[in-house]
Amino acid sequence: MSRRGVLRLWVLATGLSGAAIVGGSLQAQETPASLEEIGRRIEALRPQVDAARRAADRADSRYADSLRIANQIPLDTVEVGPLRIATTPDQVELATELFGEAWELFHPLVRGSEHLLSDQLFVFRYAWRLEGVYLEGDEVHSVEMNRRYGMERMKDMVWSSLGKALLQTLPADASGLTDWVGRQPLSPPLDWSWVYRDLASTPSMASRRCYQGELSWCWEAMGIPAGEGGWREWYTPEERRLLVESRFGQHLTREARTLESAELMLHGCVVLGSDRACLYVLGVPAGSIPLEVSSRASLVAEALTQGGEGAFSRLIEDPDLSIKDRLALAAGVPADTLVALWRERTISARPRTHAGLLLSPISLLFWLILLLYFATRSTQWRLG
Amino acid sequence: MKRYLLILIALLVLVGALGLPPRFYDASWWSRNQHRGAERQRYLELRDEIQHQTWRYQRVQWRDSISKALQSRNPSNHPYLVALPANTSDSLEARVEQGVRLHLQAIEALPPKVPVGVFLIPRNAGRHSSSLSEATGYMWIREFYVAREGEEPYCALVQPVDGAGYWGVARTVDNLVFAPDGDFSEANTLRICGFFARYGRPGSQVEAWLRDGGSHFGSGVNMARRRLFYLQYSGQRGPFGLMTGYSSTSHTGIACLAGVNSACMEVFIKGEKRATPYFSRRWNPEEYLIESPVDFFGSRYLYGGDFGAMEEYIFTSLEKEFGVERFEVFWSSELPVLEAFQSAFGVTADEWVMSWARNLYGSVDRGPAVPVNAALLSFLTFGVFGGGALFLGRRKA
Repeated sequence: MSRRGVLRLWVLATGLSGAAIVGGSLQAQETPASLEEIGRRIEALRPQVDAARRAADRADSRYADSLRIANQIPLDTVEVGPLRIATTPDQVELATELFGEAWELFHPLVRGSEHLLSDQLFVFRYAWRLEGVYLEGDEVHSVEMNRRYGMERMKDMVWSSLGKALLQTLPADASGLTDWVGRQPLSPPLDWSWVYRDLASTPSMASRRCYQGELSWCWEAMGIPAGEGGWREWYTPEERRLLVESRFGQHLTREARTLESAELMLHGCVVLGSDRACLYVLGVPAGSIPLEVSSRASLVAEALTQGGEGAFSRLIEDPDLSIKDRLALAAGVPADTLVALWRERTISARPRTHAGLLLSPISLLFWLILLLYFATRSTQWRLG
Repeated sequence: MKRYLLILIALLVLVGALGLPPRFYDASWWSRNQHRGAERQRYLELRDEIQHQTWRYQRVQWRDSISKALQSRNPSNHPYLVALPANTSDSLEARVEQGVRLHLQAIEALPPKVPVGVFLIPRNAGRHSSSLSEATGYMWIREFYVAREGEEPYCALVQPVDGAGYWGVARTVDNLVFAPDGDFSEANTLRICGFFARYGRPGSQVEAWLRDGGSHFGSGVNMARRRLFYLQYSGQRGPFGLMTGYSSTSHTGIACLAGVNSACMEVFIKGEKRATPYFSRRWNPEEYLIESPVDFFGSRYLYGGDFGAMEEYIFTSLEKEFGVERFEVFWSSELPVLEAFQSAFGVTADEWVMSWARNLYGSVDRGPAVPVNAALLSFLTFGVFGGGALFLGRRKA
């Protein structure tokens, strides 16, 4: 069967345009009347739809204004470096303190490009009740948290909001970069030991060889392969199978579930042991980069820190550059030097403790003993 | 009064003072802004209407083009048709073509008894110039078109595609054609059209039943594989034989498992109830299907199965259990569908569905009582903890 012949047949039949299809169908079927009737209905509806949309937008705008006028609580604005923070008068001091701490760590990343953050507005509130603020928009970042979550979570939120604001300043043409860091806040790591753990424990040939000092493999482990299809080298066949089994197990991810074929391939990979099927499953977008997004963000932070003045501007100035070249340009050093510095910093952050191996059982034992104590002694709380 | 009761009451009063009266607060700007006033309601209704008309306008044209292409083909040169957008790469076309051919070969239907084809159509093809630029709902759902009464029979699988977007041609082909050259391949490219290719046009009453939702039963071919990956379909039981796999089973399905024949009948006859669409959106094309000029033939997403996705394998289960000859008798019968079923397979549809479902899920205790196993487990739990408490209490005394 000639596939080209089939394709031409289809193109002739449809023309892939409305007019050609209409022309083709008018002669052969009973539908012309229906088609014309539907077309007339669409033409009649369009101006009504446009008018209704405008009326609905106006009504919604009026409604939003009325809410704002009736309920908006008074806010003060404070400035920390280029950051503008809106908060209630009683929390100006707290907001200044928390954003000040965060800004000290963030500033090295955007030195020379501070103005990029000056359009952003952070709405800060740390209270038991959070209603009453009607500041919304693309450049408004809500940093509101109920007090019941505690100050540490609040600090994390401030930190994260700066990272989000920074991510948002990336121009649209830097979408490759934002996707690469998983659209996560572009924050420097608070604790590099977690980057170390990621590098040391990821079951991937690429991260293993990076750990051993082969710098080109660090880029591979970061998900930036040297050539097209390079991602196939990130894992050995056995690692691929284990990765698919552990990551997807018996339940497909939401992403993979949209593909009926992914289910089939999962079967091929995990049960039948076909490497081709494993490659297919891991090929589902963004599913198989060895190092976590937080580790990738740490490389961006390293590049910006190394680059000093103007590093952030250099990172975003040329949309045609690859991620690797952008990072090198921002850092002001060759790409391999950058990744060597990142690796050095990561290796030097090797944790001396054993990830809470001691602390967790102690906590567990404490609670067990406490509860046993209460459960076995006679107190006035006993019923009867 | 006991002191702990006083403390408890005080705490409740405190919670009440803080939390009452109940207030609605939704932090999202969208929900505050889109408050569904009369103007917004009016707009949404009109938008739904124009989207629906746009959908119809496209489908009428697609159907006519497909019908014409399939009926005017030369059967000796083109036993089946494969059509992709004009700028598609050769390798993708080859994959679809190979997928269709291997499916037909696997079911020994080459040449097919009725013309069949796979059509990937750009989602915007045939839009009216006055349509809204935003996409219509349900635009990625796979559709099946079959001949109307009086027409030469055919069956076409239609998949709308987006040239550059997420559902581009490459991804769609990945989804449609299951790696036809590996050990893990699956010949099911044509889906329900494979049954048309193998058995020809169904009897008129069977066809009407297929159109009303029965076609859902012919979507899948490898039930064992799916059971392997979805625990809820695996029929596995939890401790003490407790049923844990209800998540994909409707109330009707559970009633069927409990032995209610009328429920099993309801599972089989879908047309009466017009199952809820998979996606709950405002605009529901299924509401319009009956009056649509297009003989739209359902989709896996439009018919919520009483036994979840397992229902997609009912036809292959029947073929496997009774053989293709008897399935063909059922398929081609001019009897009403329930009589056709009994006549072909020697068992009533409800009885067979019950036995098929029980093989998958096991049976369920009938009635509102707590299952015996659950009751025993509860008593055992009470016994263990009560005994423990008694033991500790006596030892202290």
